Amino acid sequence: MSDAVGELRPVPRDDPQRASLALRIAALIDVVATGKRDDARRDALLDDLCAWQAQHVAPYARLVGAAQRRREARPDAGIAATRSAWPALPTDVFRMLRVATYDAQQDVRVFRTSGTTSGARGAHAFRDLTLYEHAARASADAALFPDLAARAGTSATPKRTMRFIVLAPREEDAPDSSLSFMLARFAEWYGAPGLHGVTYAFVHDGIDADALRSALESAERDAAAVAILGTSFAFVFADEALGERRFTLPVGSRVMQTGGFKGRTRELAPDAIRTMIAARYGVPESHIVAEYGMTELSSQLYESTLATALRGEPDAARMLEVPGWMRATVVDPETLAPMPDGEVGVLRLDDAANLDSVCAIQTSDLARQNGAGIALLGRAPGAVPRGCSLAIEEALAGGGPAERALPDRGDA
Amino acid sequence: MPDADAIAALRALATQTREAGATLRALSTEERALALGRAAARLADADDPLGAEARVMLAAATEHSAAMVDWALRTTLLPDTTDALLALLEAWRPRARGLVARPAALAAIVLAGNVFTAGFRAVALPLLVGAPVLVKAPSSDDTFPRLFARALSAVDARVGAALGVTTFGRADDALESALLESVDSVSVYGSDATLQAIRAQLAPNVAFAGHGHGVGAAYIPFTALESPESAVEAANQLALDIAAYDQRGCLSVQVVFVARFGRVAPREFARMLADDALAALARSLPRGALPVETGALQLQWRGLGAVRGDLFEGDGFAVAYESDGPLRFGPGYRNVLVLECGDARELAQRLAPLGVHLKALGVAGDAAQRAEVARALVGALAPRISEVGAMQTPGLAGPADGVDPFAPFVRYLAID
Repeated sequence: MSDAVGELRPVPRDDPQRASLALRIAALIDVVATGKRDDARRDALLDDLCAWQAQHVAPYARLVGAAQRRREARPDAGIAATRSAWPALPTDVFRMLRVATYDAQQDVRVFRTSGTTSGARGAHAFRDLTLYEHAARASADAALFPDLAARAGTSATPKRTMRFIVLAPREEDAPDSSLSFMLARFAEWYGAPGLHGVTYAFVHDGIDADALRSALESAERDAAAVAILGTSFAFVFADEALGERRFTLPVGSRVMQTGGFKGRTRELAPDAIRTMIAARYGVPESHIVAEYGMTELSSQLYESTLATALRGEPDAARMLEVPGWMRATVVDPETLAPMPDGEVGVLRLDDAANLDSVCAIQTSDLARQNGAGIALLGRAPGAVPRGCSLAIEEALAGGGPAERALPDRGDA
Repeated sequence: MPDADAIAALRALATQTREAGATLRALSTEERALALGRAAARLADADDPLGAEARVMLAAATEHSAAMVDWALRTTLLPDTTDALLALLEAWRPRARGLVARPAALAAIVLAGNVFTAGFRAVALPLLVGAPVLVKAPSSDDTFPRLFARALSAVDARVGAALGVTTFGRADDALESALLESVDSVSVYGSDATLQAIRAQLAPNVAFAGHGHGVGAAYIPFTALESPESAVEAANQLALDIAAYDQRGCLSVQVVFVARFGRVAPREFARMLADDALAALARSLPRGALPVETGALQLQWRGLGAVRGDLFEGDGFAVAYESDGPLRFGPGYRNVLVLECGDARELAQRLAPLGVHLKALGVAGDAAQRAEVARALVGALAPRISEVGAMQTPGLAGPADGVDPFAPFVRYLAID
């Protein structure tokens, strides 16, 4: 296997197989954007992607080789029972090794996680962000801005927009943050023009309370709906920064929050965060949407509560919807077999938009499959389980995650 | 809001236990040691009703396999416990003329939940010197201290009355304060953060001993790899150090350094360790249930191992061979890293970053090998060095984390 890995060659930008895969991915995203699903097409595409990536991404080639040997040695166990014959690459590998089909000289952007207890940051390199943007927009159209998306972005019709308040660093201040990149694109696509169009209420050491208060007051005064987007942690900071002042934002206002609180000094349950946000900004809970993204992915998952409410349908269970070009599987951590509906396992995500890295990603997040949706449980309380070794690793790294600044989506 | 009734109950327990200290101190050291030894023997004996009950309760509480619980009880609560306790006391008794030993009026022992039998020595030593003990056990795992308290009361009510057990969550600050205000000696087993947090609350007159988190490592020197037979023997012994307590403990082996250039190469040793030694123990001493959150970490650890080197997996265990890779720790539950290493000096350099966190170091081969390794260790490294196969059964002799094991329970008065 190691000899074969040594023979891997980087993929040229104009490689015909890559181009073909890229076209298939974009086409599938377009199909999904119309509201249709084609899971057979998705699965075939994911298989082809894995096969191609195993030929060009050295860490993945080694993982595939190991899985093959394991299958041969123990044909009755493990991966034989999984939904995919292709193993999923653990996110930790992004911390230690380059995961790309091409040479680093062609990187146009490298997104990095916010760090880990051992200090290494995961890195996801891109030679082309077209598919990332394509996927991000399709998901946002469906889950965050379905009322704007119907007319946005075409020259034939006036573009509908709304005001934005961003509780995250600007893209230029955090060029390695996938969240900042995505929010900057959202601001371009959906953000209103003008003085109060897009407000970044985030400074290097926390929330810019004056900017935030001013943007919220102007939205109230002008009866202009506003979208507030940021990390859960930023919303907690904002809540503290705003003191006693509460707002009743105009109808149509909404919130997107991402990320969790693993290992941080202040921990809040998702329900508590939602209640806090609803009370502070005067938006209905249906209009508070959780996003799940990871640096290692090119796509995002959203709750569908806003889209459901805008369609006038009754509230559904709060779950993450999996876009049709992704496949989410909650797996048993030992056998890798899919868990039955409703049982807790570990989330594996296959993201077809991960063209130039690896599409099969093994997260360390606990989750439960509920029909077509995913209930994310995050890490169990006290992610350092019984045993001492991980606590030592943290101690040796000098300080834990509680000391870090706002999380990137690697902490989602 | 703190529960006033719970606080009052804890204070009452502290008072009652402290008062039992008078009777405890009136007993001879031999009587106290005998009671401790007899209580240990009852729990160790699977045919004793209390020992049988302990096996059922501990398997449920700890999620270890029944075989592992039985092994842990038998290898910790040895038949010679009474003599071993007396020998330990004799070894550390102050010999300077004019010193008077005064035991603590009430010693608090704050236990961690990872290795249930760790509570035995922690509780036995203060009782041996006449200090009554109030154990604070984790709310999730107080079974062993409560069983031992029952056993002690059954064999000698006078000693049993001097052992109280309380349980509350780590976030219950009011109960923790009530506990710490009631005692004049505190020993804490737990994370470094827990140690620091508790120590910061103590009055100046309270003695303190902290036993922070730690890891174990093992070294397979060249001499143990001279023949396939010696390598097999080392692998079999080492496997027990990995499998014991499902690798949850502070003495558990997380990384194995294998000497280069032996007749058995490090990669082959890793394969033998997995495919032969750990596989055999998976049958005779099965691993307990894997918590799903640990499983999530295990997936990451094993995947990275497969990518960076060679991963040898079996049902309930894995060995990652990563050649000259960096030190990295797994999630426990029988996932161990094998790295290559040169001589004892190189070993010492590779281990140096662990400092005081390295609590156990197993060395294959004879005593001369262990002595050579001991001489090579540098900096803050002060592990217990043992032969492989004995890392998780340290016995009662020896210091506690490198210091006098009785220090927090006794104050010495000098009479000039």
